[in-house]
Amino acid sequence: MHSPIDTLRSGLPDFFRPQLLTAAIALGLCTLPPGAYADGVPTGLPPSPSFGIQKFTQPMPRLDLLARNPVATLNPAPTEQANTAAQPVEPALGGGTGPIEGRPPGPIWAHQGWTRFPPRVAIEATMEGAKVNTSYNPGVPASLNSGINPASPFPPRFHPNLPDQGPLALWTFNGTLPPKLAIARYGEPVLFREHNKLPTDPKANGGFGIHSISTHEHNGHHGAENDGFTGAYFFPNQFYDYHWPIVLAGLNTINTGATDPKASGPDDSGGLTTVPGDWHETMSTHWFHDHMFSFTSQNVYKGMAAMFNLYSGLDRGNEAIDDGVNLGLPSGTAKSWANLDYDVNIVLADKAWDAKGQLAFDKFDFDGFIGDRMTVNLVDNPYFEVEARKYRFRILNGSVSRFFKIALSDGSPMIQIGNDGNLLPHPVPLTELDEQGIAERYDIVIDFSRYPVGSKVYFVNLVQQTNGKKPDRDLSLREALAGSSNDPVVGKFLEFRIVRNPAQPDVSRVPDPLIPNPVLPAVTRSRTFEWGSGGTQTTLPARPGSGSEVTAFDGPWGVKTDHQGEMLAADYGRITAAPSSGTTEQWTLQNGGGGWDHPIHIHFEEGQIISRDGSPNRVPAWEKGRKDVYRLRPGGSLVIRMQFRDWGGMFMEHCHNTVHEDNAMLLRWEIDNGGAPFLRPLPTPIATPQGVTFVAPDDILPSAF
Amino acid sequence: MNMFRGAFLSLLAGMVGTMLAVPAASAQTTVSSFTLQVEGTAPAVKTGLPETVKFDGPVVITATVVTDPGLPPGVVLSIDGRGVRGRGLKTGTVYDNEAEANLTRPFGPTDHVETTFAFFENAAGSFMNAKGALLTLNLTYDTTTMALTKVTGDIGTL
Repeated sequence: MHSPIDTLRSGLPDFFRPQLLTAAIALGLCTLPPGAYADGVPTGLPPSPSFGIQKFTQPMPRLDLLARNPVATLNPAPTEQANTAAQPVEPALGGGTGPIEGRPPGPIWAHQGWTRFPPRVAIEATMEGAKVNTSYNPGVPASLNSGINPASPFPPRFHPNLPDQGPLALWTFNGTLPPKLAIARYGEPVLFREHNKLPTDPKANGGFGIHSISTHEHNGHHGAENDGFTGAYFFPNQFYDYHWPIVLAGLNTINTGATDPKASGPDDSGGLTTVPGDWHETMSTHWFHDHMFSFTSQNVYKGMAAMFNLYSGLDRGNEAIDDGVNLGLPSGTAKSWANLDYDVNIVLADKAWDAKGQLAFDKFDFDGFIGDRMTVNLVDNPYFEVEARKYRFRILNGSVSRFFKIALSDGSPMIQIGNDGNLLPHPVPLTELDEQGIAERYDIVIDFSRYPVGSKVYFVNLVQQTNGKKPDRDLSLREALAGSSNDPVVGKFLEFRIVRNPAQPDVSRVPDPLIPNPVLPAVTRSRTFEWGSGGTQTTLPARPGSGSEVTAFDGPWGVKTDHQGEMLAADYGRITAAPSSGTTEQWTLQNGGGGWDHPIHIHFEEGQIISRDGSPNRVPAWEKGRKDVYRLRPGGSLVIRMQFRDWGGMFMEHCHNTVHEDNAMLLRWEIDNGGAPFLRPLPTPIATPQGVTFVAPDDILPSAF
Repeated sequence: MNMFRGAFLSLLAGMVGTMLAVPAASAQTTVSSFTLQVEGTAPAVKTGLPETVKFDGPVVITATVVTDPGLPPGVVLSIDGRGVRGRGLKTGTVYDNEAEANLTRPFGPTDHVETTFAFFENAAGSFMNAKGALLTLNLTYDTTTMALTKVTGDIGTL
């Protein structure tokens, strides 16, 4: 047994969990590290030394494409149920033997739809400590990657002035920078095999992070066994096979004969492969990241995040094809799909580093963590060369607790075309994007043809934030550019250099409409979730076999459901909601945390915001599509509607301020009624290096049904 | 030993809950709205359009003031200026806009807000040629009731 809670209970650092550490400090049992009480940004840490870094002196690298291989290259071959072949387990993990795959065994965690959607592409990656990248594949020539030579070794550092990150400081997919990008298309199921190559010693973590991991495909329409459930984590020397079938929601009820050409994926010759499902549910921009229970913030901050572009007949990644289906968004023309020439992924993340230039994190502040250095694709304040034409940017807020609000430095308009994974019903011209919460993705188009070659324009962050609770204030563009904020991440952070006119005419389009919303059936059930502080734990103290080891102990955060009972701290053994498969529900998300802000993420299904603060008129144009992260705003509430269909199992919803999430602002909901009007509660997996066992749910709220 | 550790953890966990829990009920939210008629111009020299655009119309401002014992009082300021119309002074061309914003602001007796917005010709596909303008607002609050009492403002350019 070697779960994090077991670690806590069995002799390694007794004060491993942040909550317990804080209590221990109060009891005088230990002290915080120097600088932990420092005011300002970064929170809880000394300011990051500058190392003489000047902004905009290094190029922004394109993300590093993960290789797509034949499934036959996987050894061992993937299996429907977890591969439980035994291997020796290292003494640091408890010794003995354990399964080679960390996925929970047996039929409940078998890949749903395995025979209907057999994987056709394998993407294989490791999670490991930082090392030099000798196989960087940006997917575009150097001329479209600010001159970066992909053949040159790419060091794991945020700026040339900084030292390389050590293998305990930075943990990333394949252990390298830049962050990774996976691509997939509808009609081509993917098998993502992730190998855990992290240190077996949990103390070998550079001060934060944990070596057991679970990867969430945010926000895939897949079975729960592939969702990265917070308790379905796996250990060093194990792998986990995630089966991403890449299907349209509604596949069992809408367009079941796959006759609608808009419900499709691109083939390799410019045509389409039709698929069943509702084309209005087509998705475009995902990401995947660690979801380890109680350690998501630390692990994602440490580098466990990648982006994932989904291509479809509508969103082809080829701007020239005009077949009545393809929207023709900026991308390129050389390939039939997935051209990245003018389709650029951007990961925003605030960071901090210590005196030695190594990534640093304050895990003792439950408000959240705010860094003082802005990184774009994990390099510090870079520049990016563009041609004088339209570009699409897929912008991910990959921070722990920080919000961003982006404007161009000259106040020129941008066109927002997507929000979270989904293209909007209509493009929205904006001079200032909305505050972008953690995990939200904004897809935008910028037309650089308005600028003369040789000129520069900048992305500017307008949000001042000095603690993890919420933004302090939104500044005007004038104020942000003045440089007077006490938040070093306010202001210019990415320099666009307009370096040339395009060699080929820009034939890309931004049509209106883009993707209209799916029609929602009548609501069959309403629920209310209140997100606030003061979470308590009803499943403590532990009883043998109760599953209480899956709790986050007491808060401080929590969720109250349907106005009943207490504000409950996370327990992934507790079933809070059990929507019936094939139904539509209306969920009200309320901020019970007063002036705090919480970006709430609901896994698996996309929702439509029906009203904000009681009014449909308060839903802005850029939130009128489908979403998977819902910002509550201080004192705010919203009503969403979602359909639950196609796949089952245990999913989650939680605050995506991942520090709040890790400190109990998370709940489990599940779909498993087998077509009957009742829930068949699933057993909770208990992960160990020696194998996964199961316990009965330790709590099922009356409100679940 | 294990029993002691379990009891100790429970004690610590209970203390954490006591130390960190902030009763949500103590937070107060006050919502007030104000509709302001604004006007102003975006000169051709600033926008690159062939003509100056004159704006006028209503801007609806909703202030959600939240007081929370753990935080300085703050405001979520929702601005809806989509009712404002622009008209080209030479051609009479009508311009629509996307003047929606949600701004986080500190609460005080007065606030000065500048936010930019996109405007574009009232024609299919014209959003691709949108231009930017500036909405300036001066807000006054009653610090007792936390409600908006007065708003002035105008439209211009950066």
